[in-house]
Amino acid sequence: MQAVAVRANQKSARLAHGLATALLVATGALSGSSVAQESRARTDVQWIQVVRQAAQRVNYQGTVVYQAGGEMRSSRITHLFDGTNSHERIQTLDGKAREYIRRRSNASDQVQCFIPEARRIVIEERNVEESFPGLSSASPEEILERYQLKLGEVERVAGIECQMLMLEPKDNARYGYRLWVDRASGLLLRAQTLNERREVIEQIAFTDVRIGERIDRSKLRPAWSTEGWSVERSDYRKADLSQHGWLVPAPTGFRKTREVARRIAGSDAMQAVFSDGLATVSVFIEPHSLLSAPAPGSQMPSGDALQIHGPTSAFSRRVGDSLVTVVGEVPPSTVRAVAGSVEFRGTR
Amino acid sequence: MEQTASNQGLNNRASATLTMERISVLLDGEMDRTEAAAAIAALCADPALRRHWHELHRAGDALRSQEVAAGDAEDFCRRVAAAIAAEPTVLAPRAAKPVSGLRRYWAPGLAVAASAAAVALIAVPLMPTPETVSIAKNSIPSQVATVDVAAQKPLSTIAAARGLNPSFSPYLAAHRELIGNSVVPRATVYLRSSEER
Amino acid sequence: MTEREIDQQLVERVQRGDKAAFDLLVVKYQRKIFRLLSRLIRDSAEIEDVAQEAFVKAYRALPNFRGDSAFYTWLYRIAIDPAKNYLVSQGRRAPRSTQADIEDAETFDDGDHLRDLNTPDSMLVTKQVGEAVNRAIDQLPEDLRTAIVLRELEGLSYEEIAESMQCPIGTVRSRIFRAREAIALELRPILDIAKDKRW
Repeated sequence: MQAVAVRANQKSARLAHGLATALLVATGALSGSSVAQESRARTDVQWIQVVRQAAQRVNYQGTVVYQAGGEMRSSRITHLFDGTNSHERIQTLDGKAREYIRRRSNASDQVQCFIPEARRIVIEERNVEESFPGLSSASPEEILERYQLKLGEVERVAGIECQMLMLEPKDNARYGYRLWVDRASGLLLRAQTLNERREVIEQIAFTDVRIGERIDRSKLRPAWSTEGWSVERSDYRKADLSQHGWLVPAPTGFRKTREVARRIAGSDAMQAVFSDGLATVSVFIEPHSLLSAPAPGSQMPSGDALQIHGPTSAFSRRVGDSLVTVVGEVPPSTVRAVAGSVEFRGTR
Repeated sequence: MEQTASNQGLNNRASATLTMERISVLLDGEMDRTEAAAAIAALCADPALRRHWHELHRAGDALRSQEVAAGDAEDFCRRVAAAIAAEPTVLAPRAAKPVSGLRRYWAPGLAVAASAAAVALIAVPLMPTPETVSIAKNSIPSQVATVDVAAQKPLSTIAAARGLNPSFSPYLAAHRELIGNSVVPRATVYLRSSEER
Repeated sequence: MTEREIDQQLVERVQRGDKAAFDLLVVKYQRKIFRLLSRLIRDSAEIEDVAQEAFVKAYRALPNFRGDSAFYTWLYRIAIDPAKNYLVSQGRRAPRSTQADIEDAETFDDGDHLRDLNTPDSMLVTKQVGEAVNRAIDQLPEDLRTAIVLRELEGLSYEEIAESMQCPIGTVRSRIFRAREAIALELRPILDIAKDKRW
């Protein structure tokens, strides 16, 4: 009897102590300098690894707001990692109803796009092995060759304490970034793209999020029954642009990640994709597509056309009778320079 | 305390700072946080100490179930260790302290305020355009702050009023499809304009 | 400090990049996971494969573990998934996992149902292990025996054992350690193949 009473008291004492500690942690009274020390102790390479890993491996569900070029779009995101595959479901919350369901492992990456008003599913299959070996994502070291990492303050995003990281571009060929990373899990909760005047031209941010919770797989299924829907596969295959006589040098500080042949708006085209680990640039070549004059009122971009919208720059240019189009989340000077460097050498 | 010959035998490889008895205490979780951290560090650094950890666990396992203890646990643990060694190293900035009940990432009542606040922090283009009007109608409160919380400069309004020429849409779609995995989520890959797909 | 807090410290170490800390967790929970899986899977080789898969998945998914639950509860969920898949692939249905299953695995029953999985060789080892443990226990002074039984089979804390045996905690600590040592010594010749094993 006495033993039970003693045990009960001990338990409640332990409980009280636990709560007191918990309160101190929650109010940040215990964090302070030791956490700052921890943050500094982490190397730049490790920070990038942490953020990248968390994107794949952390379970989360929340609402993301994307803003760029005067547009704002919200989506609901659910992401689950089961130890081998990551599963992701994105539901648009405004505009036309869309869902994107992605399944990703080390070897494969598939996105299913659901278009309910057309009763259509488009499947994009990215065979990771088909991209140049080892180049599907740039190494942290490569990224740090092109960007300087700086630690900022600890700030709250969606109610969660985040470490702010700044990635400052080392040249003018790319934009800079601010990243807010959950200190506990490494998940990126907010990202801003900054132009050369340090203006924010793009922002992706969670407005609410739950991290690390167990997620039921039923939450990863689309909202609609897709019986009778048509299924399209996004169609592209590996290609070698140089074999077709095209020389497409990589922009400074970018590396080629893929070369494919595909169709764009009804024409045959080739696409070379370059990445610096953060930004991507695509070069499209439509050979001999300008043999016939464009129909009056058609929407072909004419002559040399440079456009930007938010973080995206696009530029179109004739090379002979072929159309070269460059698109990327880079400053306009970069897409213009890339387009200018494309040459047709002729086939052997 | 009597020291039997067998006790001395087993203590042969215990380090100066971490005795086998302390490993036994750590196993039971009956150690204060600071000493535990040091003990764990010592264990992680010394394979011979880990051997003691294994043997002491095995003793308890054997007591509970001779079948399970007889199974080739050592071999299994070594195979798992080899499999883990081959894995890319897991890194997280800092583990959360267990704070049950006090940690809330999302309070339903606050969500609306939070998203409204986030929206209000981003500048809306000053030039009225059809897009701007529809956005304002749907989700932005009428008072719009123009200062982002972390940046001192408002969101750029470059070319805000013009979208990209719609003829770029198929290129954009094809570009976003092959963006691959960047540190920046570019969940924009999915947050596409619905005209693209 | 509790075992749960030790687990939390180990997890934090793993999350800082120390794989050896994960090995310590594997040693600690290997038995429980085996016992859990043996309820669902009859083939002992298969149990090992599924158990290994579970630990590797747990390692990869560790950034998800935030200490809101006990590490074992979290590990259990990860382990049970491949086990269910295995059963499905065998055309069997998995029992619905309940809180009772988790608690069950926490109690200190023996792994009786593993008995019929063993080969003649391992059955011999099992028999030898049983004999070694009995030998060790029989030779222990009574207070060491009581202490180790209260700790390993009843799951009492040092404080509770001290109360129960009316002795200081330091004595409890020492008795438990010496009992473990004695058992470990008896097991060594049977379970160790080489003298100087490296981890």
